Amino acid sequence: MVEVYHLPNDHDLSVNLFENVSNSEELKRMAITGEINAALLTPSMVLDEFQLLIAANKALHNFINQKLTTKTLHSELLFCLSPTRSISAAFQKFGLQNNDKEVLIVEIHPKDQGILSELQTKVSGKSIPLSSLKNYTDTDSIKKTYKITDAELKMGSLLDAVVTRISTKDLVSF
Amino acid sequence: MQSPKVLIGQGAEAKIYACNFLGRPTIVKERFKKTYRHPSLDSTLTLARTKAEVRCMTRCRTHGIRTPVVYFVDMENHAIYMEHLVNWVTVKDFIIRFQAGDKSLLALLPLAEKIGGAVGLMHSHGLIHGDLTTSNMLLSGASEDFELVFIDFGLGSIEGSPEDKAVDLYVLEKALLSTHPSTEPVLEAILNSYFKVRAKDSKEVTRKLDEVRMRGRKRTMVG
Repeated sequence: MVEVYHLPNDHDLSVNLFENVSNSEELKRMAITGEINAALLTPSMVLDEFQLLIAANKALHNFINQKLTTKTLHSELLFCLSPTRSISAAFQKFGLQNNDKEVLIVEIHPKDQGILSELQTKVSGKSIPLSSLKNYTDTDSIKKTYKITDAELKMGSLLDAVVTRISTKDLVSF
Repeated sequence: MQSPKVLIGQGAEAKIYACNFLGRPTIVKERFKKTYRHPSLDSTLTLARTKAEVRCMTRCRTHGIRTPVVYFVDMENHAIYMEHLVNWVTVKDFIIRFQAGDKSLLALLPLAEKIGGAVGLMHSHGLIHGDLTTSNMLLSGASEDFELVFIDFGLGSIEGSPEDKAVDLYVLEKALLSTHPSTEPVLEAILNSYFKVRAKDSKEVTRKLDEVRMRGRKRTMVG
């Protein structure tokens, strides 16, 4: 099912989680050609929808201010999620890989103009509620990728630490 | 979900708004343009201050000192969106209310220790708050299990020298004693706890602190 969250500037974020996916490679190809105009993420690196919202807000802001680092709004979303400045590393870590069996499809769109429900037919897999995300989240991988310290986890949550890195990436080196 | 911003405060540098941002209660600190400055200089300075503030706040977190989580840095508008700690009280209000009651000052010692320890930890990593007043420290929770959060790093910096640290401590000293009468024992506890952190430059900082104390208003710097 598609879950929708509000973003600033009259935009929304639509999210759909799938499991038992058998056509990941095909989906990736469709994203490259533009047949799928959304971001294809690996759920293992996503902790919570708030992490997506923080990254999406930044990507949208960059897009509106013509300050994109990558070529499209959705590739920017993927890039914003990543703690590094390397675009290819972002795609490697956060993007859908060819033999992934789960995919998180995320779309940033003007209010009430989402097309994720139409995209569902393109996915050979089962759409599940976002609340099942925790079954696929790899917290160890997240801690390692975002370089989160134990000191930080003592006074804040993992999500707090992840959000901090996404929002301050351009200003602070971790 | 976003709600329109409500102005809740204004300082010399920025306007503070409260709103709901991406579903969370949020504070927006927006630095305003100083029209008396040359525009390009103003822009550079304001941007530099915003960056320094975010860097300092974030570095504190990595070392275990709690500061508000930064949600978004809008460089175009020089605004910082951060978590709003609703229902937390300032240490200032806490001490005022405490002193209005009749408990002994000894009950403030755990708080003093926590403050000293946190500032000691900050300084040991070279982080300078820049405006250590009791209004810039927030408290949560019950008496025993309270948490401390530092806010407003608008004058903060990283890579502070012993002199910078001494000045930071001196500001805290003056702010505490002038706002809260007769809290010398609290200050003493803060400083004891601070020096327990045993940073490499502790001796230097102590010396500089004595020097800075001699510098104040209406003081002659003679030996």
